[in-house]
Amino acid sequence: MNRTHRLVVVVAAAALLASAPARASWLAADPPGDQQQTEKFSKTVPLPKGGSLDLWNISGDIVVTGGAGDQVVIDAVKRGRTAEELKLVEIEVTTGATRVEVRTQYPRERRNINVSVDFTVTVPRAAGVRVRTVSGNLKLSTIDGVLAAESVSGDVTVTGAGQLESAKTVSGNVMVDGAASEGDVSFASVSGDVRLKAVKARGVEANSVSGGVDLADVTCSRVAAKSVSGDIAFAGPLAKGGRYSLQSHSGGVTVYADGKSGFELAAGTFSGDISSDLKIVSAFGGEGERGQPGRRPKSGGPGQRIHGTFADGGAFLELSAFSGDVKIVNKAAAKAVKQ
Amino acid sequence: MERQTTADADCGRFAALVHDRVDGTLDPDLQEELDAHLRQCPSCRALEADLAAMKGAAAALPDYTPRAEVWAALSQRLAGEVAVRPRQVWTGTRVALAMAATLVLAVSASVWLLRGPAPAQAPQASAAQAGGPAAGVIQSKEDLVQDVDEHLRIAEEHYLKAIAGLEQVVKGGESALDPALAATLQRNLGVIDQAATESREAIKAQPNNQLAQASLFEALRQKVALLEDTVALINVMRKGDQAGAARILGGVSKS
Repeated sequence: MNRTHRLVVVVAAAALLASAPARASWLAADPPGDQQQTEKFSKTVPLPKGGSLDLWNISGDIVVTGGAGDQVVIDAVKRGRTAEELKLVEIEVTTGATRVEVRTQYPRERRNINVSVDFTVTVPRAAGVRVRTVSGNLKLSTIDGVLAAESVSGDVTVTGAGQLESAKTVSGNVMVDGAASEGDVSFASVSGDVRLKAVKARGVEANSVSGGVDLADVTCSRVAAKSVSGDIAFAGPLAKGGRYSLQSHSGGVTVYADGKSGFELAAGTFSGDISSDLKIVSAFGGEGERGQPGRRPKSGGPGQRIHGTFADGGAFLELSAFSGDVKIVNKAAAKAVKQ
Repeated sequence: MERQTTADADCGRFAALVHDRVDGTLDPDLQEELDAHLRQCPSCRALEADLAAMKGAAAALPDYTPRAEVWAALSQRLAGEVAVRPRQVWTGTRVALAMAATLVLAVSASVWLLRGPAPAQAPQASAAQAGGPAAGVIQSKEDLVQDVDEHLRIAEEHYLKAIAGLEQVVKGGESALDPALAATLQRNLGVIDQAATESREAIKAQPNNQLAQASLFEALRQKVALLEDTVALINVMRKGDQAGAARILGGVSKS
């Protein structure tokens, strides 16, 4: 959702508030230990090729796995303090021609319903999956259809996604291992880390406020990664004509380069250091220690910013930190030293 | 930054060319002439550096051009076209929300001032290049630098007003959120505040430092974004609207 939509939602939500009845404060759930009663739910529905699953939950963990077949198998466990409360929470499964929608419904007229619902769902591997929850962890694996996973409070873990669109949370980590997309993919957390491994996409946007952003073995031609207080690291091939923008306020910014791919570098830090294992031909920024351009003199000054090129200057690296260090690490050399 | 106050007689004309270069519209035939002038005129070099810094700072600001949907929603509200049942419990929030939204739009206007090319520049530049009398109306370098500072100050002021409005809304509605989530959001707003404070201190020490300026506006932008998302989340939580909650999830963590 872009900023336009978000602002519209804010204004529209305010306009709708007056007519909204007071409803259950469904986030004020008891800790799991206090939820003594359980109730199981199972349902299997067909989902033809090209179909998709939408799952909306409020509280509880969700596991969705892609597998063989043409059915959606939904297993859920409701947890609550009393059997009466469990009955008040319904799991609605709606099927359309190409879409299955699963939604947890809480009673509108009652407050303090302390019921959570854990879902374990199997979908056809090619199905599209959109999962959203307010409080709970999301685990999604081996899904080749378009995948979007969003939680407010909980970790989001994605493994083996063929067409990942987004993975976001407010309070929790976003962890992705093995994902692809023909378009742009966005990852975000407010308080947690964003950790991506083996992700291949056209563009990657990854943000956190207080967490780090770690992009390992990420193949794409556009990266925009930001954090306020966390470190940002990128390791992956640098595409010719690609643009890689990494920005942290108080964290460090590190690019692990392969030592072969050329890039143009625009780097800056207000009070940190800039260093590079690779010999960068500096357009400005001054010479530093050991002949490394961009090494910031302790007295401050021109080393705070550097603009230069390595090899053919094919990719563009825009690296910025306020108080953190900016580093270009020669991955190949580091690996050789390690060995 | 040291600046010469006595400008060369041709500086007015070259100032226009400097503008063109920074805007990326300089006639290639004039490049060499401008470079030659810059080599022997520290004042125009300083102007070019300042304009480049301004452009850099403006580029770091969010693209907050007012959008039709936002205007439509606001104008509907202001015209009373939205059926709003008067319930005291929400009145304060709605008013503050509208105020905050308006302030955010005020930020847009300010940022637009910063980002948009000054319409008067082109004809001035043309006249200056032709050696016409309009060269005399080009702002002095000192005025331009003051303008930059003033625009940055105004932009920050609008951001701070927007933030204050949004914070008021959040304060009034935070109880709708799970306490742990509310604490997480507050903690992260604090992290952004810290970043803004550090940036301000850096600007105090080095007023023309582009990195420090960009860093401050990035922090302010992030704070506005996180507060907007928090307000949106509070609203859907209050309504208990699951669909709304799910919808908002798409944007809430994109600060």
